[in-house]
Amino acid sequence: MTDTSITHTPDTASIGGAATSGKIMIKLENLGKQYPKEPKPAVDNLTLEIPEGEIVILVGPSGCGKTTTMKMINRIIEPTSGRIILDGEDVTKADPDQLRRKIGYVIQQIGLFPHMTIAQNIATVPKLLGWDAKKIDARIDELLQTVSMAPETYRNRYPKQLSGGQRQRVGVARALSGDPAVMLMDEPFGAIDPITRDRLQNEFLRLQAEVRKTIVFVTHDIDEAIKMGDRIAILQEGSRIAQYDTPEQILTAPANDFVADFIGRGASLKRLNLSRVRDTQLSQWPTVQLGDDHAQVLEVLRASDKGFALVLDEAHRPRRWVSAPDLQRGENRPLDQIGLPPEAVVEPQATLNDALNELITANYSVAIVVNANGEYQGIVDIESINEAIRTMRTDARARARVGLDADEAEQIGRQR
Amino acid sequence: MTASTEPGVPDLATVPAAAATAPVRRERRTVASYLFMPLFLGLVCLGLYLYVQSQELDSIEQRSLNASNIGKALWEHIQLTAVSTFFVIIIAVPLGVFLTRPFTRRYRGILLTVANIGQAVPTIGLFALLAVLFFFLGFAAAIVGLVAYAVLPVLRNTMVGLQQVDENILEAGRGMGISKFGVLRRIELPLAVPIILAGVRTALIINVGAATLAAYINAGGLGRILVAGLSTNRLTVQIVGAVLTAVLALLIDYLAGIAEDVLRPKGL
Repeated sequence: MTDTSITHTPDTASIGGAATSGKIMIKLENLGKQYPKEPKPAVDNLTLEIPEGEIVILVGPSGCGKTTTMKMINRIIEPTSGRIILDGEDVTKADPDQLRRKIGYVIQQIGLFPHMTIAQNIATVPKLLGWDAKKIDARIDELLQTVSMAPETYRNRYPKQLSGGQRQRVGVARALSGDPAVMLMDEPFGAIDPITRDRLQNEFLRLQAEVRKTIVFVTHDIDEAIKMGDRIAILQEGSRIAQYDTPEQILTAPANDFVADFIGRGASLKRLNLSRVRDTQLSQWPTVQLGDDHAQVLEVLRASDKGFALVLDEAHRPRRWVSAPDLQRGENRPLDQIGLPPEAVVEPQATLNDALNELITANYSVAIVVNANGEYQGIVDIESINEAIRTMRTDARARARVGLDADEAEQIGRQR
Repeated sequence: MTASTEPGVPDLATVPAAAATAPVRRERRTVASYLFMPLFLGLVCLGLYLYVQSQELDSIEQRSLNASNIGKALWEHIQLTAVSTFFVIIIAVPLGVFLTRPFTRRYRGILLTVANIGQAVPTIGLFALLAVLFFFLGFAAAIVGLVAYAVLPVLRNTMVGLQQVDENILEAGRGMGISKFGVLRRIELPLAVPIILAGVRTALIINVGAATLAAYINAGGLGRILVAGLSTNRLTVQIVGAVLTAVLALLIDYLAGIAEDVLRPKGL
């Protein structure tokens, strides 16, 4: 690693910070699906509220009913009991074809129509909605640009001429074509290689930050759920909700053993992915200026309990680590020619996980935090991360307790 | 493929005859390969003409082997083939669509068995049956016999073609709000076209061959020349009848191949 290295973080703009209106977009009321000849219902009396503009992840082990639940929202699977309220309107008995034109739908296998060009694929829903040709044409170009595919190159290609990642992008563009308020996504990135998946996930989050759709997203991968979700519903068999909360809260205060098991080991490490360096209290470190003479540096070192000091240049950028032995060995050399280069430099928007990763491999077990101009802001060490985790836990427990109290109050209220 | 596995419903794969496995060519042919077949058939016809010219024809042979008689027989044969194939398509394709809808699962076995019987009974037997039992002769009777014989390959290929369409594509279509009929018309049928066309091509070839038998029930065709040659024991006449039938069969197969290439949806 060179001394100019700065850790870049994925551009995950919407994590945790979805600005939502608080309006409920989708409401599932006592929804159930009982297949004939099956002893137990696939979905058992599920009630769930999905706020407008958020990504809500349905996650759970295979066979828990998460896909069935999602497919009941656009009635690809008809519920056997309960109601679906979409934007305040009961759509449980509405015309399914009309309903589906208002809901974007992306499945893992994508299902592009192989005999139609990319443009024709994307035009499907706008045509069904009766848009005029000019508007459809403009929409196709706009959407292809949105998913980073040059319209003039790709409009007239057929799906088999695209790579897997490109097909997935077209799948998303096609689902967005009718400008639906709601999108359903069934493991949309499940069949894609890990590198492309990561890129598509980041792209999708950036896109979502612009379009602010209400999205129901099914996955079996808890890491994907944590990365993509504003809210996560962890489902048990029969689509019973084990916990429905923000990723932060689920990781720090799992509601029960099932949730804790499902998250698996390393929940605290995963939690670090959701906190940013800028949100933590930075520690300070003894610093010296590049022009200072050795006596001044020794003075600073003696005054602190740390064994080494950080050398900053005129622009306040970290240049070097120096310790007392370094000063002795390189007696008359300038400060930027002795000691060690500053490794482990992170920016404030880096996650704590990135910072931890950097400081573990760094020589002095310290990650230096700089702003966008490279100016020194402070440091993150193992103690500050430890402290951050403790704070999260306390906060999460407090929040969970408030939730419990509310539940109890409600129950008491019902009993009366 | 989602062929039914219920007992009593024969799986399509176990139905005899080879048409369903007719390979669907992936790449388009080169110009040279397009030219080969017509040139070859032209040479065969030229050779046949020169052979007949070199023979001393007696009056019986002359009655059969003249341009107007051969032309008429050829035209009758083409009509028999075209009309019977037309009826095969308008019967078998809708029936195939009907039998692949989920609600017709229970009728699927019975109707496939009927279609199987049609192909299992020899055409000549069917012609004889129609003639003897119903005094049904001529062009219309020939069409009935040919259609019964050639329905199966088109029916089965239609069903296989529709069933091999990827479920996920259909679900995507339904999920976007395309109606059931819209999915059938705009997605299922276009994607099944290559396999349906392979079945139609098979039916055409079957009909060209079987139409020679129509001569026995007075429906004309190249079979007339063959039968005349056989009953009068004239080898030259037999050869002309046989070679012309073969040339016609190869020509129709060639044209059907071109039609397949042209009609196959792009992007497949």
